[in-house]
Amino acid sequence: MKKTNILIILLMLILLVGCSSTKKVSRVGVDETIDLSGRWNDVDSRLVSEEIVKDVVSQNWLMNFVADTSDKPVVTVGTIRNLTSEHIQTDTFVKDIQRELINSGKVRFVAGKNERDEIRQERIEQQSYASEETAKRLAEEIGADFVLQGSIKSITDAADGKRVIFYQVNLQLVNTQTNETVWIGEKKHKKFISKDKYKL
Amino acid sequence: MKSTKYILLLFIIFMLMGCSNIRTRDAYKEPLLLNVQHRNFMGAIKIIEDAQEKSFSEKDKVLYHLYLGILLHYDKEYSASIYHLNQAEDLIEELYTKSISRAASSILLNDNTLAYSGEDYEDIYINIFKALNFINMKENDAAFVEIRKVNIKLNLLEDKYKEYADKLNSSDDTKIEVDVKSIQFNNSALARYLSMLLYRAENSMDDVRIDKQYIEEAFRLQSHIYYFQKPDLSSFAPSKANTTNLNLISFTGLAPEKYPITYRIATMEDMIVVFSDDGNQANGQHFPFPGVEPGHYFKFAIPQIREKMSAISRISVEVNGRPLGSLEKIEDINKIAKETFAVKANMAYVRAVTRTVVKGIASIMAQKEIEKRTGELGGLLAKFGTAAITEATEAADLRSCAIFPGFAYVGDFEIKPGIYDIRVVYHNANGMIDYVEDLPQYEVKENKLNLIESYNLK
Repeated sequence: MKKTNILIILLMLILLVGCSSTKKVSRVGVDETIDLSGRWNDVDSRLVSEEIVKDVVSQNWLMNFVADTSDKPVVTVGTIRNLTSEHIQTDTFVKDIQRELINSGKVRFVAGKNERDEIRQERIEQQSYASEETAKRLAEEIGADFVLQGSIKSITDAADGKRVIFYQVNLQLVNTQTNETVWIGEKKHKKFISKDKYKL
Repeated sequence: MKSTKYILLLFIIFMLMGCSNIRTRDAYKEPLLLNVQHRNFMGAIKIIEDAQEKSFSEKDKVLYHLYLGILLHYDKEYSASIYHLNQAEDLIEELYTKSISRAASSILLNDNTLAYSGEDYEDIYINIFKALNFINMKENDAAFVEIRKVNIKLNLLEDKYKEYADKLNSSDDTKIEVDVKSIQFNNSALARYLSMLLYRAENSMDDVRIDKQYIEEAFRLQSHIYYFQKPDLSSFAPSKANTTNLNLISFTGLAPEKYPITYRIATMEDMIVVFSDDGNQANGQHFPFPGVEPGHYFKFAIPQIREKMSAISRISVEVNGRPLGSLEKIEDINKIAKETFAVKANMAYVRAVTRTVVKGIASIMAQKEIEKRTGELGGLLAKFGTAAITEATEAADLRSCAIFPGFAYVGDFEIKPGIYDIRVVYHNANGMIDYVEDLPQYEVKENKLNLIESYNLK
């Protein structure tokens, strides 16, 4: 046994036992990309929604609709199911899609199911509690022409502390009158996560 | 190096690790298990919370969260259970990554001094229990996420320790090569069963069919784990008109416990021989160990898994006082724990042998030096001192979450929607009733997953 080995043991012990850290907090911009766990986060949600909306508003269904009706289509976002192996806040993703759709200026947008229920309840209450002049009338909602719905799926591969996650977002736009699917979009998104930061 | 420096060095190592750090501290375990087996889950939670300071240091955080996560699930506090199980799962992942990068450098550290990173079966059942939490909270999509995580973890399990072993083998301190065997478990029938229930609730019958095939494969290809009769899955079809399904999942027994196996090492010229106290597999195993002198004896202990039997041998279900049927065994968690632990046990063995010999030789050198300087009496005292330190620092790491169940049973019954008084009856091996769980006025809904969970952890 070399004497140096004993010193190495001691050194390792001191390193391992004495590795304390202090917490540091700093303010960052909301647009700054910070990936901690490698899981789906706000940046993925924003990037995918931008791409997917760019696609949806550039396809033929939109031109056809405008040509037929001389009006912008009214769209709502239905259910986007999380079929991945991580807990994704699909609400945030839906909001990102809504924002992109509205900002595109090419479609009109009506509230989704949950928001509609709350607004309807408000309108019903207005009939009893608001003044006649200000109470909003019932049954004057704008019906959506199309519902955007779909799912997020993922495939995970991992080895040696590294992980690759392949996300596939499938969305479709369905005509609420005819059930016709007028557009199907797919966005693939891949992430490579390496945890070298844990190395001593 | 001067003898006093050797002594000082050993003393510092001993102090750095701390007496309490080198042994598993589980004084809470006995009262905890008593409370769990008597279904006093609140009492069990209090035991863990009270023991936090004394028994769960920073390095035992995984264990602390595991205990609370599972106990809170038993106590039907699903949201709080998810919080603790998430904490445990995240820490396990982080510690596993750390352990890979530290594999070579930590070979000389006792496992008890390292942070507990959970056993593989614990990591898998975290997701099963999280799935059950989400099902109870009516969040089926979130439950699906957890089931998918189980499947991903199982797929990765086979190769999980290959890199760890490679790094261990490449360490300068390694004198014995680790031979990593594959873990023969990649498909959990229980996880597939839960998935099948969730798919049926949303009428995705093709996915039900696929899960059914996976269950059949689990029993066919992993017969060393699924050694018992496969549950009858023939009723897994869409519910007939005016009927729905009542599902029960019951957990019995407790997960296996770890116990220490003591080994002794005798040194020869550039060679060591390892004997086990209980005549185990390593009896008389020879390993080349360059630089070792003959005539020394050392002792160490490593953990092994001991399966626990359950007092329950049959579970029957009654509805409104009439027998409905019996539950069927779907998972033996004890067997899975044993299968998945085998690879880690092998690595713990190699690390412990290397560590014990290195430490033992260091203490002999120190003792000789003291004897040379202080005479025979001083040498004798040093011999006892260093031997005590060497043995004390080689205690087995016996940490594990002792309250995971040992066995899972399931039942699928076709029934008309309505409100029922449901009774789950647990029978022991003599056919006597051990425990009865009553679920009065339980509403069985149409086109919904009606899943009842029941426990008798004896």
